[in-house]
Amino acid sequence: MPINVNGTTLTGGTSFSATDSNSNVLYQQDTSGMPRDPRNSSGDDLVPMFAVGFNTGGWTPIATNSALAFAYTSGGGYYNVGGCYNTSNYRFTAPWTGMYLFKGHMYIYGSNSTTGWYTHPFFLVNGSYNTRRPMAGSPYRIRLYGMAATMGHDTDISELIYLTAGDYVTYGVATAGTVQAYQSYSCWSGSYIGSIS
Amino acid sequence: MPLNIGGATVEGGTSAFTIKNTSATTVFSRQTGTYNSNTFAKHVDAGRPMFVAGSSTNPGWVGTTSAWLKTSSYFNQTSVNNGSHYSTSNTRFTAPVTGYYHFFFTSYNYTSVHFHPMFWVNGASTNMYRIRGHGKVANTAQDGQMEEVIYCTAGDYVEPYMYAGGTAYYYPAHSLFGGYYMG
Repeated sequence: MPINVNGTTLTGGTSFSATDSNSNVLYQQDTSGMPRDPRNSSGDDLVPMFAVGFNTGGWTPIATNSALAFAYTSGGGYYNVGGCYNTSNYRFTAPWTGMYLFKGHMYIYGSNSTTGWYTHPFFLVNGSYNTRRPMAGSPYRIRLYGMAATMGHDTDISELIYLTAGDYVTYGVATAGTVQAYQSYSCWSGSYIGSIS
Repeated sequence: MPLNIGGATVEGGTSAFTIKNTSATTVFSRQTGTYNSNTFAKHVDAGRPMFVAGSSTNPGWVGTTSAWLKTSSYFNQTSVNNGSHYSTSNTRFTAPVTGYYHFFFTSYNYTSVHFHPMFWVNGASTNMYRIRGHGKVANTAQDGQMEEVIYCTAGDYVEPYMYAGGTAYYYPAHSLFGGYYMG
């Protein structure tokens, strides 16, 4: 028989689940032992996470920008739980204090005739390079520099960032020279890992 | 009314499933709440190992030639270090329980030839070679971004290293090391 604990129903048997009074499944281990993330009564995920594409087109210049315009929402991989990613200002906003994992990817090349052009891909927190980072500098990355002219590369980066609720994160680049990104090959994503209190 | 099991409590509510220890500290919770009028899930695992470490000072460029360099050597501060499993003294993460861990590392480098960023386990190379800078104009900057999921046995320790083919330089103040316990 299920147990009602202040409105939360604990159900046992060959599996275990905790369901709140709004029929949100807060916790579940199914009959195989598989843990399931919290979801609402319709089965929709509630864990903050998103994945968004750049655009449908091909090559486009990427100038130094604090928030590249990633707003392609029609791909099969588009995901945006609770609208945590804003497709107008290109920001992910953390609903909870905790650890988050971000990944950013663009397919790029420098349409130059020298080896001196480059791109710094980065994640900004609240518009800053080093906010929430435990370091004297900032997490500097660099791609394309020193490569032969017009060679392709990627900007694939990932980072664990411990955010405070309300912090926002954007994905951008700083460039030297004219660097192009292939829009339909580019995306970025983020996911809430968890909290400790 | 909460269930009391040996002093620990299992609590419900309109949107929470919470386990508290005998000190009434939340050790586990799955709950929902609203932010900007949208409903999100929140996970609380009070003891879950997680850390992000970096350098509090700027020692500038650090070089090595045809040798391994422990790149976390300068990472003496953390933004989060739940359970203190990352040591700011010996600059290594030690797994408290057996399981899968996700690690990331990023660094700013340049090299005369190439370099290999790698996560070492228990002070030894794992042969998980990556290579950066090879074929580029010598001494142009490159980063050492990498990530890896490693199944650790309790007590294993993990540290990021780099091997310099030729001479390679590393900028600790632009570099980070982090990870968390997946399960």
